[in-house]
Amino acid sequence: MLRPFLVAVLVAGCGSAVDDRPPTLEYVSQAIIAPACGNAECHSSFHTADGWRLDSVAAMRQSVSNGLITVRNAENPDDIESTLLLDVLTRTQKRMPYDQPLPEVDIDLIREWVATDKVVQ
Amino acid sequence: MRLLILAVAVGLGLFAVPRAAHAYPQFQLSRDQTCTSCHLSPAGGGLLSENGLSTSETVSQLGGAPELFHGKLPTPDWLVLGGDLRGAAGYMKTPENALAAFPMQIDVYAQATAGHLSLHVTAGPRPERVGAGAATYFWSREHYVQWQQHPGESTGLFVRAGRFMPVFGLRFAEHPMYTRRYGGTQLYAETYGVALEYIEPKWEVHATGFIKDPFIVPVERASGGAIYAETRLGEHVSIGAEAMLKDTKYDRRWFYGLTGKLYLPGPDLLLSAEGQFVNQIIDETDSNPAGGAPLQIIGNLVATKMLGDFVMLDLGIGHFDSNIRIHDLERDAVDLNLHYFLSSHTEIALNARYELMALGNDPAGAYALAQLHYRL
Repeated sequence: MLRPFLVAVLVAGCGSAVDDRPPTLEYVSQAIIAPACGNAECHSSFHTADGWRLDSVAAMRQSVSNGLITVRNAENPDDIESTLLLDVLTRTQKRMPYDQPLPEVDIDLIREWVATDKVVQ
Repeated sequence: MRLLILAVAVGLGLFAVPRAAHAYPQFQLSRDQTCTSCHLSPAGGGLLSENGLSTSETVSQLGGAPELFHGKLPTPDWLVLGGDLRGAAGYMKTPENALAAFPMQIDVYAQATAGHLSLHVTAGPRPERVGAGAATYFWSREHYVQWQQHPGESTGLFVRAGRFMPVFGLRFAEHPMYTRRYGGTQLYAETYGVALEYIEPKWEVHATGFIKDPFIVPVERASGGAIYAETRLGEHVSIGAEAMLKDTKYDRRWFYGLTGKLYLPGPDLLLSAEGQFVNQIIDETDSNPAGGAPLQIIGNLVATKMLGDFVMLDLGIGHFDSNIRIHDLERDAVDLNLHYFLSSHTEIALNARYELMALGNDPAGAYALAQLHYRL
């Protein structure tokens, strides 16, 4: 029970420059998007702002089916920046999340996941 | 720099919804020993006791009858009614600049008491679930039955069953504070549970077991348990310890933390601190074989100074690291809250924050909101 705490004490303040987090829907959903985007007033299943639910793995899967990471550039199927998710996370106006934008390191991990799981029509 | 005006931002999901607020834990130690000295709920917040009503009068500039509707709507002894209305307007940097105005809280409260038993209900409008129409315009955030060992007193054993927020940590009113938003008591985290709580002037302990709300689509998606214990070392120092487990279909989060308060009567200054360590364990699945276990650190330190008899100033700092193994995931915030208690029912507040991410390497956020609060 104490092991995670001891690990935390040892590594606090000296985080790794290597991001070895898994770029999977499950990890990105639970560790990044649900806490940042799935809040009560935003894209929670409780409120479903703009019709998007991002507060659980199941909700994320549904949102992926609804076009969250669908490439919107018909001429370049590898243009992941054209996906709705990366567009709203990186644009300079009306950037999401409204209240607390994501750190670039998290956006990079999301980008890595989208590159793998993107939907191409 | 472009200024985007979002006047009365109805329809903009982030701004146009009520946001509940709670009590001011800054009054504990600086004005009284326990939350129950002023509030009927063992968690604090909501309806005021007679002492709480008296305090609301004495800490305000204009005073006035502190009872419901200034005493013009008397209720029988077994029934206590009340409510809170809050609205806010101001500047937000998101990171673009915006002006916004929105309702924060529209809640009415009722407590009906019969002997040792009482029924508590908090009800009001809620952010509607898009697509669910009128069925989700109103709700009851809290409703629970309480058994109290010493009815009408602020100490002793309390047992609650129903829907409420588990008692955990210092419970600041400002829900964007990191120890609330990321620390297990985010906005609308009320859910069904059973709590066993014991409160004495020198110590208190709250143990809660809770489940995911089976009746509505909830904000809190976890089942689990929470415990918070606090001891007061003399009149001006308290320390507390906390632990909570939140278990969902996809992960488990363990929260461990410490709290502390130090009141300096000379300068009338209260220092409040809370630190949490969070161990999130993301399930291993076929499509996520590595699982995941981000270790997080959350902290808030707040200095509260009473400026005269009816102005309260908070200056706080917050830190949140969403994964201590990875560089540049830190968030740091400076919070400033100014509360002006105009009358026993009316408060004007300024809530301001400046936030840095990755020690300033990534876009920052900020807000400065004026808040008007009327207590029924």
